[in-house]
Amino acid sequence: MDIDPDVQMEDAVANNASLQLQESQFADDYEGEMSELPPSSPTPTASTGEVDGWIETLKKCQPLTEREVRQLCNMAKDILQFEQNVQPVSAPVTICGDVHGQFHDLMELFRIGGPCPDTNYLFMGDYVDRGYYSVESVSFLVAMKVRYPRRITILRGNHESRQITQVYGFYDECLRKYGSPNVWKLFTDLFDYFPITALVDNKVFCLHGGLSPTIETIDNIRSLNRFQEVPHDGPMSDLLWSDPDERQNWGISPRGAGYTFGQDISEQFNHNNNLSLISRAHQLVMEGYAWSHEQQVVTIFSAPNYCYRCGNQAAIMEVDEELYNTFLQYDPCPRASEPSVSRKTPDYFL
Amino acid sequence: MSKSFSNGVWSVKTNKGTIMDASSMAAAEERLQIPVPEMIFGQNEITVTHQSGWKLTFNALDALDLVDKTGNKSGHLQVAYSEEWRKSRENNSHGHDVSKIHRPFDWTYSTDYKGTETPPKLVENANTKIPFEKLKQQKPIVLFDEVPLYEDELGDNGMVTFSEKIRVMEDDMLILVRLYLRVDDVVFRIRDTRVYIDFQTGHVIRSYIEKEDSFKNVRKRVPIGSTDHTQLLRDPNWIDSVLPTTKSMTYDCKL
Repeated sequence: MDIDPDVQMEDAVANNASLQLQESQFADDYEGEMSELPPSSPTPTASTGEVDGWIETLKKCQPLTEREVRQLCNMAKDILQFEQNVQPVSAPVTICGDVHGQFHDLMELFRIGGPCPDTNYLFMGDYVDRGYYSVESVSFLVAMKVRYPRRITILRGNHESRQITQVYGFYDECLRKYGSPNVWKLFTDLFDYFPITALVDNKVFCLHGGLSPTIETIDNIRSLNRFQEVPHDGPMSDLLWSDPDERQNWGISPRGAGYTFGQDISEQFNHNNNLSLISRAHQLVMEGYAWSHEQQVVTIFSAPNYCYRCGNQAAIMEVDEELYNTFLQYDPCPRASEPSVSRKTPDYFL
Repeated sequence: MSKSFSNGVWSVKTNKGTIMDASSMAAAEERLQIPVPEMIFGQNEITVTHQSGWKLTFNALDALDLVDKTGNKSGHLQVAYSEEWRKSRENNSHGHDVSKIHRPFDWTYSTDYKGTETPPKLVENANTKIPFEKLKQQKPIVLFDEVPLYEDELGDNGMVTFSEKIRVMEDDMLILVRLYLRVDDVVFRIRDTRVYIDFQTGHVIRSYIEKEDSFKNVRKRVPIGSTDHTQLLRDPNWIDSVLPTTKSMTYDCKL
């Protein structure tokens, strides 16, 4: 990812005006970028102004219409189909973990990390399920991707799948908010296009889950066909599902499926591929981030007070031009509108 | 956050905090000798104390200590697609030795914990029964709390939650501690411990019930024509109403 020559980063950083103002300031520049996209879809492509309008709607935590989602997903496909299985990303970039439909906390993330497009972002998957606002969260991130394709990278998590979303909430939420599964179908079809890993300046390898015994080099990943539902087994499944473990070597989960990888595996992978760090998400950690394997691997989790009851902090990781990492931790954003988890009427359970 | 109640003879205290931090998790793994669930509410507990010094408390670590640490007793349950996964791995292991599960244990965290009691007074008594009719009279609740103890998402293969609820009225109180397990396309399991205390008589009654059935059988019980059958399958109360009881025990004592 090259720095857009047409964006004056210094000015953008110095500008303390609201995100809204900064966007409109740069709108003309980005219009050029968006109009390069091939007009391949039957649904008419929206203008920059329309996409800006969607982003404003979504920022208020209001869902788009089904028609708008259809347009949005078509535009996103036109961008994502050209991204690579190992999408190259340039530092500086802010790397984020699981969001899980916690929309207000996603807005807090952008307040803490700095507004996009002035700050580059890389999200490592799991935008949907569990939280109350999967629709708004994933719509927002995809809209930002369409609006600022070179400023934000969105990888696929194991929840970006047809099967998992039917069990953990996104499907139900789409039914509830749109009265039909159409929007769920549009998004889950789009998820097949998301890149599965990213590589920051050839040094920081980012993905949702972890390593796979069938993948020894980054080049192995480039040859995978990622345009499909997340399979139950094989390398693509491992990349989205596996976990680091304190025990050496490869391990199999006692659940009977899924790998864990030890420090020796991480060290070897980083050495073979000349990497400094594996950055992944996928696991809840109280502090929002956690090192493992003698700082060969970092886990980042960006959903504070996960499921509205864990009380955990969230974190994002800023990677600067020199590839130095800074973690920013944050708490849930104070909110009034979320459904209260405590009940009003007495619970005469038996 | 903590709540408390006392009537001079009985006192009740609930405590609620966040999930454990990394160092507490490490200490817990050290003590329990199994990989611990991702959400352990280590400060959470409900404690009932009698003026005589008798105490019954429910906390996460004591409950987890009763999880089958070898997997042998619990029958090595596997996720629905594990056979498929195993086959593909055998064909494509790239020479890595990945044939062994490191350290099997009951990854569903199914505990039969019934509380930590000091000194032990409750004894098994098949002839005692919690007076549910009395509990159905909706007397004013002076203390209510809902306290999660631990949860795990089972690597997105279902869920297990172990949590407790308490309601204290003027004359009596009830605690319900529930283990709820769903392994997608495999099994549903509920284990309920209830503790009823009659403040007037000092009678303490504890019941323990295990319920379990296969996912397939439960799915058959979804009413025909139900529009939201996936939602029913995710509603613990509905699941509770259709699961057959596989074990039931009662205990009591007088204080």
